[in-house]
Amino acid sequence: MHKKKAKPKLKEDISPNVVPMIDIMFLLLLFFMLGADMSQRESIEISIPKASAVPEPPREEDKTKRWIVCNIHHAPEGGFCAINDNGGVCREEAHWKWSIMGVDYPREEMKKQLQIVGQDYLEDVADEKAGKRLSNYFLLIRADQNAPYGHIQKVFEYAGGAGIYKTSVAANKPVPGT
Amino acid sequence: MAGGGGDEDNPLPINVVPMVDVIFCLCVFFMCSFKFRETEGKFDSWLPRDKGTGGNPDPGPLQEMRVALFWNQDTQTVSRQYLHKKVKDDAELEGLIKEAYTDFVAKNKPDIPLIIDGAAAVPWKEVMTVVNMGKKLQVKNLEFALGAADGK
Repeated sequence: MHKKKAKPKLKEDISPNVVPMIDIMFLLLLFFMLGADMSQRESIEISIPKASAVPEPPREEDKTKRWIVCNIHHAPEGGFCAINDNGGVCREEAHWKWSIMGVDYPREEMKKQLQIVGQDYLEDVADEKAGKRLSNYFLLIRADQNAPYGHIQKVFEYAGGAGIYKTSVAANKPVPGT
Repeated sequence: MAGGGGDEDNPLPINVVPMVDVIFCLCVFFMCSFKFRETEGKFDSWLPRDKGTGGNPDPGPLQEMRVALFWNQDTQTVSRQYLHKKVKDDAELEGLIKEAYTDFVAKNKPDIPLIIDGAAAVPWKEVMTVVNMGKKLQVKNLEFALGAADGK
């Protein structure tokens, strides 16, 4: 009698195919690497007010302009403020800081800075009304939504005094449904 | 590709485990540091070149749309006033500005400014709400009333 042919042993290969996973991981990595913004930011993290009518700036046009970005933000010494941390509106003068390019300046120092920077880049011809050459800089004021209005008024005042008349105030376009 | 096929097809198997680990770490790093940017725009608010910040008021008849904002520190609330009328909510204020501006436009005076006169302690977002209203109603001139200059 013929001996029954022994069945060949099935070689079990249960190792998962990791190729698609690696492919996806690479794609994710590429997405996050390209999306990450590592540039030095002149605009610091601020919760700026929302305004539905705010126009989105035309990017190309903006690139040709020279901007000074002034941030008004809440930064108490030691990073702690009971009022602000509990959702209140902090009115402690010393807790509100003004900064340009990430450097905080006291009020008087900011006034001087604006005067120095403003004179750095003047318009080609003297303004008829002002009787002098005014600054060609654009000043963008990015203020925290709870910042006291008096601070924004002061920055306007200092900018006007420094001959910087082209000013803008930043606002966020609200996300629909929020 | 790495990790694919059996041993027979790939005489020099590459251990992909460390690479996968590193990619995972990089992925986690970038995912954690990733932040979707909010659309940030800006309202142009050019300062007067001739008046300065301490300009004298126009001696002519009072023709303006003035919104006054007051801050109550105890209740942490803002009260608003259009000319001499106290305003309850956004809709009422918007209605008043709209009515006044339509009147001025009909009288061929579209340059009459909407003046925002806020107390120094008023939160900036409240001022921005009024700016936004003016922009929505396409008011041509918006002005910020400034407080007294230093030393005055």
